[in-house]
Amino acid sequence: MTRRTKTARLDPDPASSMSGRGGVAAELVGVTKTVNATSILDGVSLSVRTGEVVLIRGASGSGKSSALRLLAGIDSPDEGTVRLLGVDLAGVVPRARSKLIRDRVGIGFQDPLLDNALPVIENLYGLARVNGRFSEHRRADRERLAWLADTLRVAHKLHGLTAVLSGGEKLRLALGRALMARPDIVLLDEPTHMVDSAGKKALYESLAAIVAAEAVTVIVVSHDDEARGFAHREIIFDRGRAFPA
Amino acid sequence: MSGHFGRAGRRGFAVGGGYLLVAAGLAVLGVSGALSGLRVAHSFAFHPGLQDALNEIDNVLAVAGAVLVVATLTAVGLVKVGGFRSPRVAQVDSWSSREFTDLGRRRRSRVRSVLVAVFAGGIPVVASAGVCLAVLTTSIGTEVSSGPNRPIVAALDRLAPGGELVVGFSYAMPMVEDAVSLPLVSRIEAAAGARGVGSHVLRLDLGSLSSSAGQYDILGVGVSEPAGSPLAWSAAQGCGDISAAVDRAAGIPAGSSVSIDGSPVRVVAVTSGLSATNRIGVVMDQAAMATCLEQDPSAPVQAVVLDTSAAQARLILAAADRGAEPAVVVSRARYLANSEKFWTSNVKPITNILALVSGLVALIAMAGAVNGRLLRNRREYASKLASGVSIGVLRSTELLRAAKDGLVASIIGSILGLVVVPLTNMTEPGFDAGVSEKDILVGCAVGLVGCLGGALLRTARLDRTVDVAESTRI
Repeated sequence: MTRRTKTARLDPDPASSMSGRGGVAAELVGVTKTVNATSILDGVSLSVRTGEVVLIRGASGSGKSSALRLLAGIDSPDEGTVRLLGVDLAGVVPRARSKLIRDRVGIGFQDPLLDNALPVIENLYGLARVNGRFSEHRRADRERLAWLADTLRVAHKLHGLTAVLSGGEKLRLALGRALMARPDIVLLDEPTHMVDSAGKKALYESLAAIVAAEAVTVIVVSHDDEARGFAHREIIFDRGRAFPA
Repeated sequence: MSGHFGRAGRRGFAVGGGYLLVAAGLAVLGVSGALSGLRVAHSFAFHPGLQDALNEIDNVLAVAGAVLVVATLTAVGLVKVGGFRSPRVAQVDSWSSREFTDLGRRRRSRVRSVLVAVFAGGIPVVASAGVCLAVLTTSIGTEVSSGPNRPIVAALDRLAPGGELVVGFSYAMPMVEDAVSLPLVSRIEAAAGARGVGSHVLRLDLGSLSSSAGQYDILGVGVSEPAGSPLAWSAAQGCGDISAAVDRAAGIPAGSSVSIDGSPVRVVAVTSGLSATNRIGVVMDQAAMATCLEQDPSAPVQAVVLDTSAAQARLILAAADRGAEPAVVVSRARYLANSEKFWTSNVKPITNILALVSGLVALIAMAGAVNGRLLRNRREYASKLASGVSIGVLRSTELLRAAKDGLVASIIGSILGLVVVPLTNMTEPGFDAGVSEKDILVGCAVGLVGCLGGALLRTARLDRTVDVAESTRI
């Protein structure tokens, strides 16, 4: 019974066409979230189209990361609707939500959360491999791994220990991990957290190259000026509300 | 603000005072208790069913160990082979062999790389110790329960392999207290001779041996030696010229001169398998033993061994006309089983409890280790869950890790056991503990049940230990 429900609920919402560029890839509708009696999100609505690169900006505590976490299915809203790739996340069982995320979504956290004791290359493919989205036996996957490593400028350190990478290299590696499984949408929360200007520039250049090659939808939460030239559009968060820039 | 510090100060003073009060009470109690022999105990009635169950634990664990070792090796092997076809399985195998966090390490050691390739990238110290302890307690249990039979079996084998015994009382224990009078022995020998059946006198003696190496308690086995044998003795030689074979456990070489119960004895051979715990086996002529050591040539013997079946032995005993003297035919197998049951009931339940406790300690320790690893890697686990990896995959990773840890612990613990168990033989003369296949399988059961059980306990609530929302937030 659960399986049938899961399958049925994974069907995209008819209102959101996913048939091509221009359909809605991610959407918050009237979302509110309160934590410890403090309002984090107050009726936020936003919509990101397929293929768009959207930058979410705002002061610390404005609710931008919370909004991204709702889209990633890590948190759930008190009220409102969260739609990702046409699926209402509140309407699917956790297992189906996990499947949607692993098959079609790439996530990057503020902290890279890499497996520091593993080699760099294993961090790049490990997650995709365990989710059935990478196989060393497929030539296309091997070529993609090499291309990503090259584009993200970590190719020369692929077989070294992840722990010895610099902060910028770790962030680029985390970005590569999020992109390895060819996601339809990438959600990045402060991807250049605690990196110098040159590191930020390197990361956004790499990301821009990948976006240009794959037309992936990207939602980035960031304070960085370096991200502004990279995004198609900006959304500003202020005290739990979202405004177009 | 000042109220906060005032409250904290008063609370600290009260708690500190409590500590001091308890320490003073324990000091007084400790001193007075040690002096007065204070002992807290509660007696429960003996439960035969419980003893029988405990006596079987080592056997159950050995079977469980064999099954678990085969099943675990098969499972890990299948995962490794399956990894060639399934990248997903290969990744679970890879993750299960390593920590995610680097714990400050910046280089990979060669030993760790080999461990990672074969099993898991760490040595489960506590589980290995648990395996070693289980091997140790089982080996000691086996030695203590079967060791006392060793000299009897060796003596009977020497006298008449396959023969049956005539003894004073079928359940006499220990055997040295059994007695068959010499007149009855003569009648049995005559009756046996009339039927063409060989008969052998078995005389046992508890005494002491002094040598330049030290003093030992002995179990003397008096045998009928044919003339010309190096051990043969006749009254004409006198008590100053006795030859004996001494068990190697005493470490006395052939050619040495020793004193047994005050009589000078020449060691003409070194024998083996004749010693029991705290009893060095010594073989000599039974006439020399009666005349010189016991100083009573008419002293009863402990058994007569007949080279025939139990039924024939009964006919011989009936023909010997035992009169009012108690004497029965006991089959060799029944006698040894009775003896083993006596010793097994004495010590086996305790050593088996120790093996169980070591397993329990290993289980608790490994559950703690798994929990520690989950907590240590919770952010890495959380990022994987957030990225769509299922809890089942992570649970499989931990269980596979536990299986590998259990195998590593079984190997290391067994090797440690092979080293430690023989060392216990230094503590008692004649103690001859060794590690058998069964002892190792008991150790493996403890290691594998501990590791797998610990992982099952902790991963059942993996989603509570790893809070995705909390662990992925900075």
